Amino acid sequence: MENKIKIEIKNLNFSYDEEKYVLKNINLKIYENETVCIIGENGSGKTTLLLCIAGLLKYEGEVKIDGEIFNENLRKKMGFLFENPDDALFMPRVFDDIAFGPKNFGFEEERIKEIVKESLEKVGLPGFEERVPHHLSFGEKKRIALASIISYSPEILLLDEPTLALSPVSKENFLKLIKSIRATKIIATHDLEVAVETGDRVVLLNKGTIKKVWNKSEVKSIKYLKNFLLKEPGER
Amino acid sequence: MKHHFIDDFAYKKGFLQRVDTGLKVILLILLLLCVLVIPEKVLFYIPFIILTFLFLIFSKIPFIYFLKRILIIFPFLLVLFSLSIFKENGLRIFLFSFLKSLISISFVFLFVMTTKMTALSEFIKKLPAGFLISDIFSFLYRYFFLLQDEFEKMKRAMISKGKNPKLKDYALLSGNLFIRSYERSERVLKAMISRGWKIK
Repeated sequence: MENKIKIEIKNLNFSYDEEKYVLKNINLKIYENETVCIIGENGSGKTTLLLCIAGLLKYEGEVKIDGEIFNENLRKKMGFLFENPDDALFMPRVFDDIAFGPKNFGFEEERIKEIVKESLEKVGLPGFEERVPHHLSFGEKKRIALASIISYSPEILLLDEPTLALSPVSKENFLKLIKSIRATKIIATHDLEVAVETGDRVVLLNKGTIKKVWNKSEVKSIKYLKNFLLKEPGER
Repeated sequence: MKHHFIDDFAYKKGFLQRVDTGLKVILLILLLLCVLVIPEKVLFYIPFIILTFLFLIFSKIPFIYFLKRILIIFPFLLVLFSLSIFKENGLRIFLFSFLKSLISISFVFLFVMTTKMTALSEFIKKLPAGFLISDIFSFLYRYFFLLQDEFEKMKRAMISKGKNPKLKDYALLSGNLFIRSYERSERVLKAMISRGWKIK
């Protein structure tokens, strides 16, 4: 793993109503090509943290990408995979959905056609260009949603519950696919198997604050993580 | 969930399916204009009825399927033109207005059934200010089925909890659907922005 800092989060706070903070004083450095998994209870702030990093929510504090404070020009460096693929597939054809990002980021028309083809091949769904999203299975939608972000080759992937509601076989294949993509990855997940298998580091978020950060060597097994989570907060 | 897509037959190989979308739009407009100006004599309507049947046969659309679709609008037409019966020569006006509308709607249905929605959206995009209409049209087509699914899921959940939905329950479900749609629109907007879309 290289040691270049890719994402630096400093004193990040976020609240929806300016009273109750969903994220409190988050400080985290994420290195280039590292995979960081964020685990935690429902409502602990995992998705909100990803949305803040992606610049999709206004927050207090600082998020730096490659040493630069977040700005619109940095958007191209990031790909956000939403929990529900129906939120991310909004165009009438698969082709248009995958081409959406490259078009907005100024890729040339001819190159876009090649990109769409390549992206579909990468996610194992070649020839799906003309399909319409509501004809697809949930697993296929997830893959197309992933294709729609890898199409513009982002350096950072923000993945929100990537394996949620997938069958064991689909989950296995999807994990392989995610692992094969070279990028800095932040994965918000409930699935401890995903955290153990893919994470170089695992971050535990509890009520909007970082409670613990494990390195790969420290995360021994799913059972270890599960037992830790089952302990009362005071015993941890 | 099983859906009936309005453009189901667009994916079959038939005569109207092969015609270019732009040409089809022009053809449709011409046919509608012709129907509008034909004199009120039964003989003049026969070629249009024959043409409808020929389109059905050569575009491989089953007649019963087509009839079921057309029957949906029957009550509306009946209500719409029934008032004309009370006028002088009312029955004649009613019959010919009904026939004109029926033929026109048959052509529109044939056109819609044999045109891929994506192709239609692409065609609209080429028109002046078409990108906006095309975007609205695309979203409508994309999310209509999703809303239908969500509505069905809520309805099933209600039934599973022992409540057979009545009119006021449908109002409740619709209200709930509206909130869900609003929330989804927020998430879709975030997905669009994350992929470089800018509010114009």
